[in-house]
Amino acid sequence: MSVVDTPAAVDAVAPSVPAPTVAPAAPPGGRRRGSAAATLVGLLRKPTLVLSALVVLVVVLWALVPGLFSGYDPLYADTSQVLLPPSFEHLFGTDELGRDVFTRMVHGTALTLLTTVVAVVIGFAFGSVIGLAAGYFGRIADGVLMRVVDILLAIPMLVLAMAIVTAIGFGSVQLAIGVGIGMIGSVARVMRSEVMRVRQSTFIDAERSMGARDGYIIARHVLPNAVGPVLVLAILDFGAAILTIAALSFLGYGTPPPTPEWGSLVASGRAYLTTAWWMSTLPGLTIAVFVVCINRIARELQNDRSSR
Amino acid sequence: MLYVLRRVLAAVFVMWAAFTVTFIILYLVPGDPALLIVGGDGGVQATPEELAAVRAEYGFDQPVIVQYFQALGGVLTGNLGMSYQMRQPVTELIGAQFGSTFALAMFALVVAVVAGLVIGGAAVYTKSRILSQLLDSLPPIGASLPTFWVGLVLMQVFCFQLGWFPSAGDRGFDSLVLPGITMAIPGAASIAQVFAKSLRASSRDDYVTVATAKGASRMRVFIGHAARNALLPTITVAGMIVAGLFAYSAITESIFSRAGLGMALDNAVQAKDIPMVSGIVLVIAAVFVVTNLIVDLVYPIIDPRLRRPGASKAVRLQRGLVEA
Amino acid sequence: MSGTDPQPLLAVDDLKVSYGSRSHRTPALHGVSFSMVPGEKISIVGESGSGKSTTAHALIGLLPAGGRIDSGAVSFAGRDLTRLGDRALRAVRGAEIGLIPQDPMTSLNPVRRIGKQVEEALAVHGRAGRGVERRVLEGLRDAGLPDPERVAAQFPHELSGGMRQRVLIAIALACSPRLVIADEPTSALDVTVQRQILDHIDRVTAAEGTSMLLITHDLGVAGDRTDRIIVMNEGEIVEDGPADSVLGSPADAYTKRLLAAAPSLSSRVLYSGQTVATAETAAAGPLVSVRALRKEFHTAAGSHLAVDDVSFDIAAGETLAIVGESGSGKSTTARLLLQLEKADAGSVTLDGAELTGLSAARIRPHRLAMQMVYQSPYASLSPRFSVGDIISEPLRIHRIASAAERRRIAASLLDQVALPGSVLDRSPAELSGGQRQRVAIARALAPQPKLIVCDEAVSALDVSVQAQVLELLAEIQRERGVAYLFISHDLAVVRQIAHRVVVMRRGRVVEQGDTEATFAHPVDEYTRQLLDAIPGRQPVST
Repeated sequence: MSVVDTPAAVDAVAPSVPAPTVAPAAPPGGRRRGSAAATLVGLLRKPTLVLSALVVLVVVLWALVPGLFSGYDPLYADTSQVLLPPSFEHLFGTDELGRDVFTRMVHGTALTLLTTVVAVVIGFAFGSVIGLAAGYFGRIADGVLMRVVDILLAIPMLVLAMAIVTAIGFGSVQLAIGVGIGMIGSVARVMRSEVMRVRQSTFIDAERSMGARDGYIIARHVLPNAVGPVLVLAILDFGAAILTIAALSFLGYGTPPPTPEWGSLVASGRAYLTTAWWMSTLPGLTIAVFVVCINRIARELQNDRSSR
Repeated sequence: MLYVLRRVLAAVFVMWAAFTVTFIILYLVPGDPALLIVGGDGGVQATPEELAAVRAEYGFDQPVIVQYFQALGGVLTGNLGMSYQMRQPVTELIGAQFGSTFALAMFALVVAVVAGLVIGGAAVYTKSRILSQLLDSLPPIGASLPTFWVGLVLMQVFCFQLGWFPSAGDRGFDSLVLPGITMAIPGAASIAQVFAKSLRASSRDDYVTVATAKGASRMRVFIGHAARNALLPTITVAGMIVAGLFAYSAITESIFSRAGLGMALDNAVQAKDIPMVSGIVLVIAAVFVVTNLIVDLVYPIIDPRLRRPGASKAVRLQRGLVEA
Repeated sequence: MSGTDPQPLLAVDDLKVSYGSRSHRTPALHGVSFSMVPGEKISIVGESGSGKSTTAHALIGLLPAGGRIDSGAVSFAGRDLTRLGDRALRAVRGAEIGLIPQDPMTSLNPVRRIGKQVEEALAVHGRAGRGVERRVLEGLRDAGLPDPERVAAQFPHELSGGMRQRVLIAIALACSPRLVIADEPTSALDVTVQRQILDHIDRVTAAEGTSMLLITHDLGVAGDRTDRIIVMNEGEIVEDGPADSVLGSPADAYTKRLLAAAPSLSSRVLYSGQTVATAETAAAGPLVSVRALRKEFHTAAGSHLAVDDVSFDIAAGETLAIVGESGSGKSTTARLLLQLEKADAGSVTLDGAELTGLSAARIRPHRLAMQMVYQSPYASLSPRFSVGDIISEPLRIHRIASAAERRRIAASLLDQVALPGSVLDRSPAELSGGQRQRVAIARALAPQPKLIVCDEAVSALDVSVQAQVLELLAEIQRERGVAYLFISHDLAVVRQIAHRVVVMRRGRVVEQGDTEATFAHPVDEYTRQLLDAIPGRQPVST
């Protein structure tokens, strides 16, 4: 018993070969231990990813320190500066009251992002617990919980949020609650299927054959393996939640004016489409770019996971 | 036949549950709806007698459980209650608006399906790496655009600058085009993504190799084998987006000043017209349930593996709705 | 090949193929050359990664995504296929070269009727005119499908694996090609079916004088079915010659190793003869006693009796094999024994203690004594754990020993399974399949069990690795006196490793006894069929 089969001799090169022994062994050291330089080179091969990360970073800074990006007061109406087109003084132009649109966008970031974060946290807190319980315990728990989820899924997120807002009133917190509840269904579904996927894998069966308890298996094996995809979904859903919250704020269900919010900023330009195109176009474009960037990062994480 | 019966029963259950959830959300809220109804007429201070009369008229003086069963009985007989705002039966109001939104949603669905299949299919079929990457990058962008903003931009360009389409109204096909395209974009994005993904998966399947080894052409293999199998998950997604289209009519109809369910929903939410909101939510849930029922019933026709005993589970497995 | 050979049908010259992306390519074939004359039957034999399937697919331009022919020529009937345009190559595929694929379960389009799929093979070559239906039915009948009208109207999922492979043969032969490439045509099928299918391919190719290139990992199949054998290893041909001489007096060192490793009914027995029933163990009774086990599964499609009245004993330190084809209930029996499934009836005792009917908490302590090694070395190890953590997991679960102590135990177990200590902190993803299976064995050994259940534990491994793992198992048994329940479909492997054998079919035990006696003089008809179906039965004359 001396010769240990070497990966080179045993493992396949060709992806078409049959036996399940074909996955190539990772090079010594493994990809996770790659040096910082290698990571940097890898990033440079993905310019859109780097750009997306920069955009997201800048927008987060808008939310944290808006004063850094604009010297104007978001609420100050300067009647001598009404409806000016974009220029170096006013990047996004000015509105019908002479307020700087870019400044209002930057100052509206904190409220919009906070609303979204609260919604995502609500959706994921409840959705994960429901999905985990349904997926791990199966049978009756699964049947009951998934029927509840079916109902949440039967009502589109936007409409469910509108109904909830009707009941509890307009405002940012209310939007966050409405959209958060609207997200529970899809989160629960993903969590459940991830948990079931892990639970049915052979190494979990091996754990049972060794005599491990349910709590031990959930904490040490199921959760760590299921949580990754759910977090990626959280980032993807973050983009979707921003869009929904902005849409509801566009319809006027958010914090009332003059407080700036992304959606209501776009709405405020509706009356000036022909005379002041920038008022709704540029804030809307900013939202679009931000969500594109968020989703780009989420997809990268997703691909990274699935390629592992 | 058992399969059909089970699917129909499941659909009825979801409808009942959706009604109950809506009832809980909307009718158990703090505040006196009678005040809303009377106040809706212009803020005049209502007398206690007037309020009592309204309460009696709408049944607010009954215990909640009685109200629930009355409302449930009403739904079963097609009576969704009286609108607070309009003082007319909700069923009639919705009936008047449904057609316009239905036409809009169907138009958007066709646009989404055609655009999604063409973009997703071309991204996989093309041999040009650049074109493929370009087409692959479209759906994620489409899914990230705010619908309300797309509507405004399209209106600005095609109505105000080019003057090709009307910026408002609900008469004729012209008025459908821009709001339809606006709503179709997110749907087209998800159809394109799913179709391209399943096409790439089925192109690697062994039966595609076998078909190629028969000497079949690339196009024949693509259409007859790869696409035919990739359509299955795509149909599920197409079914999922229909109710979303009705939901997003709230935004597009508001932007393009079209009368319809979405506009009515927006108005009702603004006016806290609870029976109207509840009625429209129910109708949209019904749209979801019916489209899914149709997809459930169509699936075994397309996928012969699902025509057998125990197919109910198998269909839902295949559609990714449940796990093994 | 000498110059007097007739005009070759196929001549492959210095073929080089690589896989990968544009920037990073891994060579898969380093210049492969061979030729075959009309009517010849050649097999290409090799382990996974040898390049045998790549060769087959490169010939007809069907390399998977990322694969590319870098240089070399494939001349078929005078034309270089690597230089043909799309259209010209399509005219060759199917019409002149047919392909019988590997896995019948996935090789037919699930949403199209069988008849249409056979018809397509004719239609793409313009042979779908009048009478095409008759030709489709004839093709199916010739492929050995008894009721072609019915089959033509059916969908793939309505047919068994063997029937589907017959349909694929009908497709490959629809246009009467001059060459058939059979890519592991039976490796996904049960042995008895495998034999029928190979017999059938033999018959039809002989009748038409068709040449055949058979790709296989099984030297026995190669020797039984073809006149000439080409042995490949790591993308190169290491040996090429008449079947008798390659199997009987191999020239190449790799071929010799492959032959030595391949289990057959004449290979060396690995288990030690003395373990069975020493006076002491016999007096103590069997280690495991299984009586009248029964298990029925209920699905929406109906219920299915998976295990029916199964009884056997396992003595301490012996290996009992359960053999059977897919659906025989052998794996379910193992899971019932381990109490991973609840039996409907029957009893399982371990060391005299009754296990059936115990609560989960009461069974837990018994689990230390019975461990499991699974078929897939990829799926059975937690991807997030290091090798050391995986091996010490059973100890951790049962709170045995301190962390440092567990690590020491894991290190010594690595030594026992002949893995270097350096892999202790590695991730299983960095190991090969064979190395991973050693880790799984080390994990099973950690709690010093009395019984290890090996569920197809070597069937996913290449023969040379398989031989090493089998030897390791035998050695561990000699040193530690552990008993094995060895679940396998492979009778040749079972003969090497097991003292006694239980043959199962459709949930029932059809025969059990000493391995050697049973294999030499099978009593049951089904056992005889299984034995007859093993490829390479006739010992090759040397």
